Amino acid sequence: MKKETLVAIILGLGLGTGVAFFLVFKTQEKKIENTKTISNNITNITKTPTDKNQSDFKPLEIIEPENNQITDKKNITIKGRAVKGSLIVIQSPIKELIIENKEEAFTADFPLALGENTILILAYNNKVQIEPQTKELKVYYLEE
Amino acid sequence: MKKSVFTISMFIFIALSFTTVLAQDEDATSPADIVTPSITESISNENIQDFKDNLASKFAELNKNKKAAAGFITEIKDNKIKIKTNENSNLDIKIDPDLTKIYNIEQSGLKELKMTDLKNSAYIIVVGLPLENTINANYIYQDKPFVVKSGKIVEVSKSDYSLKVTTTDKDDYTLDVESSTKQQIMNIKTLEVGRVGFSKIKEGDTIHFSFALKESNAENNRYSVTRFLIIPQEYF
Repeated sequence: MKKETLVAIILGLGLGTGVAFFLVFKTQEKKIENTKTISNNITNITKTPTDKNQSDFKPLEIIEPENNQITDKKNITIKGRAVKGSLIVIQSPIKELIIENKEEAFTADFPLALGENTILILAYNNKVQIEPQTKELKVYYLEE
Repeated sequence: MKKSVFTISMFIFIALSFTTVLAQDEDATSPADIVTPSITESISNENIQDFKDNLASKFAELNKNKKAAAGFITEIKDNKIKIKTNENSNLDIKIDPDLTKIYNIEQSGLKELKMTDLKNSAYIIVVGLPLENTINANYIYQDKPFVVKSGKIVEVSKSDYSLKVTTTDKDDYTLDVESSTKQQIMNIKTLEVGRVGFSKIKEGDTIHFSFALKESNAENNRYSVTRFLIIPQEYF
């Protein structure tokens, strides 16, 4: 084979390989870019509603006392959790208590009547006129 | 050569044995002596601790089970009472004539009662150990049940001083406001609670109220309200 032919073949192969690699590399880069764009869009779509929903729908939770609990004390500590900024109303046949819930957790010292005390705890969320969240407990102040 | 190797090996062997003998401590006791007293001691300590733990858990279990049940008496027979609870389930109460104590809850305190003082439709609170649908009563307290609700005022009747209310449970009540009713309102700015006159109550206001439950009023849902708190609609 002539020298010139050999050189031509080598150059041809080299150039061809280079072009092929370039094309493959560019295609992969574009694929990655497209995937990123789509996933970003999805994140953007779902992010805001999720954040908003979570803060609105936290249930009213009473940590203590337990329902049907017996105590020999004239007062009971009521502990619970509710949406921050909600208005908490604690009512019984002998007392009503209003708490502005500045944090999520709330605590209140509540008086008891001798015998059965039906205690209703309501949380009005952020001044929105929707149905309040409610929990009802019975606590028994009994002397044995 | 072989002789000298043998001699040197013997010498090394003897030297090593000698040092091993010297290394033994005179004061060391046998393994059996060391182990036996601590095993016995640890077993007895373990038994005592187990016993204490069992006792503590039994007490905790007993105290945990000590919750009250309450309801209206539906039947009294011999030393058994049947009640219908607030959750609408039926419970059997067993009374021990020697051990069960029965009281009436009054404003001044507790007044002791006899089994014969309890009547059908009376509301009682029972304290004792529950076993499925039966409670072996330690104490029985006769009490007056109260209902606590909240809702919206749908009608204010100035002619007969009554309020029609729809509760958060979607029940309708007619509440008679008496001279003895404690009437209160929340200040929407300070959140403080103060007295309110009947004329200031408006339809659409939120009301939190309570009344004494009487079976006789159950049909028409009309009750004398003992106290209420108004949250003005302007707050929302």
